[in-house]
Amino acid sequence: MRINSTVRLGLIVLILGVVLLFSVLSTHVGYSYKATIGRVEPGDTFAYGLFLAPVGVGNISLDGETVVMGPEMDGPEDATFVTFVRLVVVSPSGETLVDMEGIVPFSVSVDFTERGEYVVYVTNLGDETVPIPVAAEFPRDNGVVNREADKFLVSIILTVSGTAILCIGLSATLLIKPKKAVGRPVADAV
Amino acid sequence: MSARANLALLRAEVGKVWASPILEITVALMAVMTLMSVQPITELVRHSDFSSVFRSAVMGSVSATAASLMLPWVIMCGVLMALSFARDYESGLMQSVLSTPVSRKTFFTVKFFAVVLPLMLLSWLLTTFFVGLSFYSDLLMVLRFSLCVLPVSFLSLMFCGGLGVLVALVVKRTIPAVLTSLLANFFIWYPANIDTEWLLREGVGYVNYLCLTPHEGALVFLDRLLGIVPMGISQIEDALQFTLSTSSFAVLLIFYACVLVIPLFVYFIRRFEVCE
Repeated sequence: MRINSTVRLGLIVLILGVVLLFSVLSTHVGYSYKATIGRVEPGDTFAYGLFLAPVGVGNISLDGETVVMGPEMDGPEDATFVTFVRLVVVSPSGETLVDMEGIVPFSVSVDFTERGEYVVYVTNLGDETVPIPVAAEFPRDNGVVNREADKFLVSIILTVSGTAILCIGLSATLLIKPKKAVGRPVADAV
Repeated sequence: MSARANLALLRAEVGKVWASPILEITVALMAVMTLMSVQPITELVRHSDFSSVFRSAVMGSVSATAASLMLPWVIMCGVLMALSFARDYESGLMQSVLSTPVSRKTFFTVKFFAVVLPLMLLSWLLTTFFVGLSFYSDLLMVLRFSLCVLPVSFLSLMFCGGLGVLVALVVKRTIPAVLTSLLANFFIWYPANIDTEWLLREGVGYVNYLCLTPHEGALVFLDRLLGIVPMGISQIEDALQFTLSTSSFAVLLIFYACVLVIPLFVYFIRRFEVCE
């Protein structure tokens, strides 16, 4: 059986799709990402940029827990701050996903459906200057596995189209008769 | 021979070397190696720093992808080069082709670049594809950084290819040549797999010179081309890989690219006995 270029193209696309599919199915986004960018004055707003894949539902959490420098000999120590804040989360396409006020600590559920920068604005509405750490959390306890939806879609498209191209190529090879060589028959030539 | 005839010869050789299932195996090997090292990327930073962090993430991803692709390109280049030369020698095809108006220069050049050029393009395409999957919001940036893989892979492949040809011309038998070339290329690649920064911090002396090896040098050169600045190297900032300039690494890689290929080319066109 002769392997034509359609079969080869199909096989390559199928290989890429299957490898990508296994990769997407075996990896997921990490459990938690947390950042603090300094102390926020009363009335001030800090903006965090969260680069994320479309991984589904997760939590934006403001737990107020951070590390501060203790007395001279003790080194850094954990501290918890309680303050009143306003939280705004804007998606990469500019849509406002969350706009709420609350007392730290609190957590809000967000559906991450796009890849790109989610901007998290935190405004200190309290009376004290405090650090307001922001965390993105993806707990596994509710059965949700936060996989990259766009890569999953690409892998499915590649796998399906690779299989289709491969089948078309194989059918063409098996069903279509090879062309006869152009020219006079040997007996005539002799 | 005319340029058109040379191109036709190159096309025929590419078709022969990359016949099914070699191309498929190479793509599969490269895809598996790349995806094993790629994890979902998540960053949480100050909004004003986001563009620079995004840029660093793209650069890091290109560097990591190229580093993962290095083993498949080194192995496949050595194997295909040895296979191409040794098989033609053993089957007598080399003698037959060289008895036609095809010159030895053309024959060597066509056989060499029929392996190197497709591998270089494959490395670049797969790097662009896999990095682009994670950072498609700025495809121009991905394309700009992934273009740096082209010269690095080309120079690295020239060295691997040279080693493959050397083995093929010495061993002259297909299977022993392929196995020898595979092992030789693997052992020369191996230092690129060592975590030099960690060992330098541990004070291991010989690691300082690993950046002068062909493949580790290529990865350092790629990082320099991309503009990656290593973090937290204050203890080891006098190490060679940080003190040598980008142009020094470029010269080193050009030296490695030519050190085997040019003598072998001269040997092939002047001295090599096509039949024994």
